[in-house]
Amino acid sequence: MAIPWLIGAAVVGLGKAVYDSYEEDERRERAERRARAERREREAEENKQRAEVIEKEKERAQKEEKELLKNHAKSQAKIILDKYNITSITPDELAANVILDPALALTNVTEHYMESKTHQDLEKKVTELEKSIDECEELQKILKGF
Amino acid sequence: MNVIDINKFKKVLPTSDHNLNRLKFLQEEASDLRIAVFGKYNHGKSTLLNALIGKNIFKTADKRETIKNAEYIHNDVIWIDTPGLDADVHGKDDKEAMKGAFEIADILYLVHNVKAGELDKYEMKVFRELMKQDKNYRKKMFLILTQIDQVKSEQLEEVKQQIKKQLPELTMICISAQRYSQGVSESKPKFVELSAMDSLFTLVAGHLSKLNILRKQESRRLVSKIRIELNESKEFLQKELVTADFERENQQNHLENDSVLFIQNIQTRKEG
Repeated sequence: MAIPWLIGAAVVGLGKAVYDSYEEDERRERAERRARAERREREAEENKQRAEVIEKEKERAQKEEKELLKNHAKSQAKIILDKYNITSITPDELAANVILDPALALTNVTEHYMESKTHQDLEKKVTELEKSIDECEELQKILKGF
Repeated sequence: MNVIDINKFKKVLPTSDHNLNRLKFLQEEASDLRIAVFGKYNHGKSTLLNALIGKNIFKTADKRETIKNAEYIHNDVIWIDTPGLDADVHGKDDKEAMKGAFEIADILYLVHNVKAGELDKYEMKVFRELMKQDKNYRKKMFLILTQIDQVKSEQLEEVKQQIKKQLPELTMICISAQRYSQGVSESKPKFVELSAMDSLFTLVAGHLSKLNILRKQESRRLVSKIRIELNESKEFLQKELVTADFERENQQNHLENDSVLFIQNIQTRKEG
């Protein structure tokens, strides 16, 4: 009479062993999935951080480049303004114009040059010489009467 | 003859001041004949002048006392006694006195004392300078050799030859003003005759008779001189104008080139 019980117990034992094994697999698999998910999340976060760093570096480099260009333009503008004695526009303003709108900057420099002392002096000299020549011609006409 | 506005000319021809002043004088102020007597101090200028006018009007000082010209009118002639050259009493240049007298004198008598021998360097410099003022100086300048009674005839001849070599272009009159004055005051016709002052009086009479012609000729010469100077001045101004115009244009072209290079440089950097 003990045999059925034994068989029953063995079946139960076996079933439990099977069930335990299955349970273990399930747990392991869940743990692995969680670990994978965590890894992906970590990697994504790391990628995001890297991208942010690259973006910041790019921004910094662009800013530096822009600043260098601005300073170079400013020093070149100062050379031209000093050379032609142009004081009605600052090197900063001219540099900004050249960077933003080159065509306008060219017109701008010429216009400001017209107001410069160098140009004004040359204009004055030409006007005075023309006036003196006119005076000479007037006196030559007077002398013709003699 | 028309009168020209000298001041207008002076503005355009500042270096022709002397000619313009003379022309102004001829046009506006010239009346009687004006004879200026030039020479170093103590060469007998004032003695000569006093003999010419028959009065002791001009000072016969041993030292130059003034840099101003003294004038006296006698028989339609205004006689101008100029300061003794090379005395430089007041540290002023003889040039100023010479310039003034030249502008107001029609005739210049360059007085030289025969006892001093040939003309010295300073006299030559001054006389040459005066001769440069008018190309017709032969009709305007005369060399008066004074005190001929103070030297022997051989010595006089020697000095005359030396001076003739120095200034061959000028007419030379040899006189003794002192002997003439003495002859007049002491009624000694021989002294008057020996003084040879007659030749000088004849010369003055000649100036008087030709005064109007001389002045007209001089005015014409001055106008022609001013015309040449005016042409030269105009040519110079025209050259200056071409240079200034070129400089103005050049400066603008340079600025444009520099600006284009500057802009290109910045754009290349910006794009790079």
